[in-house]
Amino acid sequence: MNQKMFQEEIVKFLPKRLRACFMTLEDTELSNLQEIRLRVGRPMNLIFDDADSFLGKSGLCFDPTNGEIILEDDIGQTILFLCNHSMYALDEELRQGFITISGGHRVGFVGRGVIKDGMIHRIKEFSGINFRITREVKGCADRIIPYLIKEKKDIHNTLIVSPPRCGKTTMLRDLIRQLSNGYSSIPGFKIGVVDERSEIGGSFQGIFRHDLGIRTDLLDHCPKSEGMYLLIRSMSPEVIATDEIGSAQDVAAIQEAANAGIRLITTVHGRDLEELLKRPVLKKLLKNNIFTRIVFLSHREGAGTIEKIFDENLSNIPLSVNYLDVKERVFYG
Amino acid sequence: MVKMIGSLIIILSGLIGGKLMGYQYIQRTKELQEFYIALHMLETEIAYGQVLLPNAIKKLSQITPHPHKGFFALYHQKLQTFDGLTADQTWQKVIQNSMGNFCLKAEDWEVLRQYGHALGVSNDTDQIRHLKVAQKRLEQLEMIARVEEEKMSKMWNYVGILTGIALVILLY
Repeated sequence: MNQKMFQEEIVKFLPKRLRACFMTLEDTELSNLQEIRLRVGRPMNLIFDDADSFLGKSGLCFDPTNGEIILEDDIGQTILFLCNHSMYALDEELRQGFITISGGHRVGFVGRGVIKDGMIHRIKEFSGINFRITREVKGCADRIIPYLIKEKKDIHNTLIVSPPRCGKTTMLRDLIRQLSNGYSSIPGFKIGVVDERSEIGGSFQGIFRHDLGIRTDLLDHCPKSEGMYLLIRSMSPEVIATDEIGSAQDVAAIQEAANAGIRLITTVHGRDLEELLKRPVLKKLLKNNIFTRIVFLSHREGAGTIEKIFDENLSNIPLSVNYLDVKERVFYG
Repeated sequence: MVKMIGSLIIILSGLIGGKLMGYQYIQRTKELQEFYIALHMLETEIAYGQVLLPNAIKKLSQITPHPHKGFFALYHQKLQTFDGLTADQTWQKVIQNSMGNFCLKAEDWEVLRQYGHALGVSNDTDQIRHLKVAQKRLEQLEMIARVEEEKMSKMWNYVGILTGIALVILLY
């Protein structure tokens, strides 16, 4: 991401007084930027691929005392700009605690929760904001695609697992694009994407910004379970892709889709197999052998490092074996 | 003959001058009414459509008459620029820039200024409450303006004609 794009997509949502600080950043620094964290009364915190820094009027520094202190008013103004001056129109986002902005960047926020019937009704009196910068890395799925091919015109049901900020969504996005466009001698799949948080397609006000391939239908801002049923009924997908499963409804919809002969690609938060098996909902999915490929990612050699791939019997597939030279059939965009 | 024509011109000028002075009062009532209607439309957009504020304002700029059209068009344009101002700050700025295009009085602008503080900053129930308050106050001002219009426009008509006649008498 260069300075111009950064100004257009991110900086415009910040209050005037903080904008000047970002002018000091170089394009190379911006391309490594992962998160911008604003916390009331704390210095502005920038998280890069390989560093945790603070930003002040004189630029980046490691000393928190030189970082620009965020005021309550800065947070309030940022929230208003993010809502496009229309907090009344974003009740659902204010309940869920995040907004997706143009370019597919997710902005999370915390504050005081207003509880109704034991559920978070909305968040107010905001105290912290986190801009998570989304990147489209074309080709990042090249290494895992060979392990996901089952046979011609068929792929494995795949679960991508990693802790946050390890590139799950970026990997999923590129997988969707490549499988949709086609690879080697295979013409490509009809893919239905349920994008509950508008992160996969980077959709903003109905238009999606990221390249998801030529045979992809995107169902934006829709609950995963309902969205999957809708896609099965209406769009006859060969593959359904979705991000961050976790609830019992998601699992039921996944089982339904798998039994309907549809292939699935999805992601989940987790560090290793043991962690996944401790979660009852996911344990059920794994024990039912629905996912025949489970890919673990880490940040060991940068975001998207492939750690391990398991098969349906939860046996490790050696990474050096079965490597096929897969070439994208069509490269758009 | 020339004197007669000259006198007629002076009296006519006085009449036109009086009408122009009275026009402000008629126009003020109309403008208050238009703002009332505009806020009512904004309420519909927010309550039923949950339309984003810039889009709702754009719609108002398309359906309101001059000079409100220009007012809302300028507000929409400024909201879209992301120049670091809140909806309220932009609203106050647009009022400042547009005052010369309207015949409204300071107390009319005050109602609109106060409404600006609530623009877009709360949930729909609260937005509607603020809109209702502003509409009610505009309605009251419109009633006062209507009474004033009847009284003052008549008075300025008389003042115009009488000033014309007085000038003619003085000249003779």
